[in-house]
Amino acid sequence: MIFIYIIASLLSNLLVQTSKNSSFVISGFEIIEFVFFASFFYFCLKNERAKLSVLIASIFAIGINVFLFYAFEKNFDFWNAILTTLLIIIYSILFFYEQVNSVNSLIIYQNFDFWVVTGCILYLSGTLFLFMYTSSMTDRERNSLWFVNFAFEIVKNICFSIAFLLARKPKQNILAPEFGNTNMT
Amino acid sequence: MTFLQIMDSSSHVPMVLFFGTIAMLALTIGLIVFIIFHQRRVMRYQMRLQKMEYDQQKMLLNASIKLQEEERQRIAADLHDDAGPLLATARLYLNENLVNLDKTTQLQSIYNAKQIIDDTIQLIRNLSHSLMPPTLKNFGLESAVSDLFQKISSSGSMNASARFHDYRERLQPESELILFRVIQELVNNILKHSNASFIHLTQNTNNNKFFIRLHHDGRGLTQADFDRLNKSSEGLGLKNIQSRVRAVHGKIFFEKDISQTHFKVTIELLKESSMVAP
Repeated sequence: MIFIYIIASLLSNLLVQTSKNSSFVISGFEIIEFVFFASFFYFCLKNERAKLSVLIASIFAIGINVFLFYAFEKNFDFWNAILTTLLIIIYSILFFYEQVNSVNSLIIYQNFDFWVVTGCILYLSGTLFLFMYTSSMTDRERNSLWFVNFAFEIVKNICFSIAFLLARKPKQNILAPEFGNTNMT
Repeated sequence: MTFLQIMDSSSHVPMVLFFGTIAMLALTIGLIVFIIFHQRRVMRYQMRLQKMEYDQQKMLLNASIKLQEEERQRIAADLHDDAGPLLATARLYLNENLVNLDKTTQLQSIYNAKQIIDDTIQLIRNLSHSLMPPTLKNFGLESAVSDLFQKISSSGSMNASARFHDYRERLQPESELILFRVIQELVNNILKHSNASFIHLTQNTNNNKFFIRLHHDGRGLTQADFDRLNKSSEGLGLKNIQSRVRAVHGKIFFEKDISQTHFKVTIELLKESSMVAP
């Protein structure tokens, strides 16, 4: 899923540079990106209530985004960026909360999903204001400031690369070797 | 800086873009760092807890092994010091020379040997009963405890009474034996250390839980004392009580009565797969 998202992200960057209507490409990609991130959180979270909340909130947010996309094309990015970033940050907090309370005792940064989430929120919080003002910028301004997006894309992809590397490594529970066989009842 | 230069050159891009991005990044990084440090703290705490539990289990296991060894030594000593000499004496009475003795002496020797063999049988029976009380096996915990308390009362040193309110169903034999051993150990401690004038035991059940409560008016322990002694190298008997209660997934509480004059010990265990009492 992450891999498909990266490919979609690369395609959108290419389209932004080549397309005449770059705002449309950016807006479309923002919705796709939110769908990817929300699905990732949906599959990552273990608590059923949290999963359900993510599902309902995401469907609701996508509905609003699609409506805004057609109704307020001019200001779409402003509201979309706020809505999706806030939701993803809330999902991340839910994810971190679940990880901290998890009994599997793995150090949080040994989990590949931690790095995916870190990449997501770093990228989204870094580009939130950029996307908020995309619609009100001229093409020249947008082109000049687009390096911010690229910078955070790089940060996000580094985090995702760490996640891919960790996903291949076997996980080791730091509490298990010492106290695993101490049942003496 | 490029960011600021672009912003200065363009009046359309507000300052909020720069500071907003910085603020959002700071918040996000803060959140991630907080989560990492918080989780490390939680894990350190969990590890400390696990280590404490591990040490506690180790201590209980050692206590249990030590008790087992002491019990073996006691049985070995009883057999060696009591049964051995008795049987040796009986053998002396029944030696090969017996046939050469006169009839009266022969009869006297046989009678003496019979007496000694009877004593040995009694000794071995006592030893066997101390290992597994027949009253407990055949009639259940109520009878075994009443028997024990009757013996204490009849010795005149202390007034001991037991009352079982709801014992229609017997517990599993293993649970009953463990519970009886715990009661024996507690009573033994009260007799040895508390200087009490009475012990009263009550049994009850509530919500599929089986309760045994011991009351006495001597010097006793509170939960804090019990926990402290359990963690120290002293209090072998208490460690055994703890490990036995744990073995039946039960709980034990030591407390002072509301009146502050009596001490209470409550044993609580789940009434799993009990059997009908005779």
